[in-house]
Amino acid sequence: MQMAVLRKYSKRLLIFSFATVTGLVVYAQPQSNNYATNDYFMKSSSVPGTDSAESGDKKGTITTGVGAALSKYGKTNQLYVSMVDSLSKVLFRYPLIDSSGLNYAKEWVGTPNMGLRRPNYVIIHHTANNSCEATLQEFTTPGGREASAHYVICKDGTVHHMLNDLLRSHHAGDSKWGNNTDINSSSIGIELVNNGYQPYTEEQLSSLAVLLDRLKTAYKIPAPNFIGHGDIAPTRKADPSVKFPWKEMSERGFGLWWDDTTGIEVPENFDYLMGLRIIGYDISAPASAVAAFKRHFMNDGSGGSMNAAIRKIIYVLYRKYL
Amino acid sequence: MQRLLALVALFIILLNYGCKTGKYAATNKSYKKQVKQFAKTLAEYPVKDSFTTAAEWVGTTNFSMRKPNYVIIHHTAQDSCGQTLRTFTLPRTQVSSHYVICKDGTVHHMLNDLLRGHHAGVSKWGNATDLNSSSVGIEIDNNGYEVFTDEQINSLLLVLDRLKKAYNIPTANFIGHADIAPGRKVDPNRNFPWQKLAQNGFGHWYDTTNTIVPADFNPMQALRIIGYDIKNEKNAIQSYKIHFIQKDTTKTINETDKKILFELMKKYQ
Repeated sequence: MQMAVLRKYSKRLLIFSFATVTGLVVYAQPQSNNYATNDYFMKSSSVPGTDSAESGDKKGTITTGVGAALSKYGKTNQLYVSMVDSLSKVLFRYPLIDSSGLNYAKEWVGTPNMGLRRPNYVIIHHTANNSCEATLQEFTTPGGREASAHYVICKDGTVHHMLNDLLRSHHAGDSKWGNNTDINSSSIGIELVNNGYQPYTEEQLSSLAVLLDRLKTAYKIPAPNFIGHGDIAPTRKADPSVKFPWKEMSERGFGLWWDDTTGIEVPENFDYLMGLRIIGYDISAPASAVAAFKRHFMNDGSGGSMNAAIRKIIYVLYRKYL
Repeated sequence: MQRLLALVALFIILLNYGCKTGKYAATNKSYKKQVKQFAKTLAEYPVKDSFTTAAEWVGTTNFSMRKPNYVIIHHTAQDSCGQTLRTFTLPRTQVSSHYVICKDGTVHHMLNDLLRGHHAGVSKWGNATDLNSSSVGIEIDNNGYEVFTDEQINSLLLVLDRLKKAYNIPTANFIGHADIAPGRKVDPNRNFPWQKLAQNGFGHWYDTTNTIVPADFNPMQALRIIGYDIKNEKNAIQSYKIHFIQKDTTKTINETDKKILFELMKKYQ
């Protein structure tokens, strides 16, 4: 009985996903080179908007309406809107269809005491490319890798807010931090445009600090929960690189750091792997976890080798995470 | 006279309508209104109230809804399912859970799984400090002392199975309210069949037949690895015992408790 209903539900889900995918395919079709002549996109001109071209101050002005339809990203912006619309429809289903298969109440009683799921972590990435434009293009390509981030920060410090903070972006991939195995669902993803070897620009870092401050306040994100992609996926990822100034960020309240370790006595029985696990690292591949720790907390890219000095720093930090 | 009759008829119709829409019609309406508001928040574009310095908004096309990664089990500490439904439909209480399971096994699904329930309160598990945002809350009708009914547990297992599959919730992440709020909460009470749940893939359990605990084993470190907030050690120990020992919920750790902790820690690594 239960299986039958579950099957029915998954069928509905399939139909829903199929509809979404079909939608993607339809919208992804190159319909016309001249967007302005396209009926579908002409509709967007009814959206009232401002034209940033007339504004001297770039900050905070965003092109919508006719401008958006004419621009390079008019098409994918429309896709964004229709995708949010279909996601919201899932929230509107009531009585809640996904409760089928159970001995559930005849009459649906909803609770008015609710909210939207919020982020509790911030994950910092680098794009591993040199171009803001290439990153924007990748994140506006449906199909393929389906990757995204909430924010992209270009080398000149320009911040692109590509996704509502309350939605789930696809930036973390297969990852783990403590017991959390769905980092995408509980975090904000920020991509810094950087090829992986060069230093981050002053402009990027000052924009980042303003952004982190806003996120910390808006979602009460605790200081320890500002981490890097390499931290949550130690065997797969190495970003942000050793050039990222984690120490300076921690001084502003984003992430933790260690103090002077002179005079610190590490207990003989301290197991540094347990220490790493308590900080949050997945220690199933110990050398990778050590390498990730060194990259983040010592700006050291030398991999998974251990020594007494590293053990001491792990010890000092682990106590802060207790 | 005719007018009076018409009035009476109207009155009867209205009365009928009221009954049909039920006791919770008003709060159900408020549910729908709020979801509509949320949809509007999500649909804001260009993304408002944000730090953007780009001249032109570029939205990504690759995204989805935030999903739960934990399941938190509670007992209601109330006398009836009706009482709990009432509590959860009063806006002034601001408390809720996604599911309520009555003594006869009836399941009330009160909130869409993708929305944030208000069930965890101030809580912590590992580095997570906003458990409401990352979990589904399940309330089981129980006064806080009694045994849970078979019907409740059967229904619960069905709900858990569905949640685990739908959101890829890892085995380790089926936990209790007391686990995430030591010192403040003690639910579900120690009659809760955690071992049976673990046998079905919801939460971990232990086997200590061949366990040898290393001499330098650190039990507080183990509690923190499992997920407990150990700021107050005694409270953390008590929460651990309500969940994993049950017959003894004192705030100290003996040799048996250590053995169990050692086994559990390995599973949570």
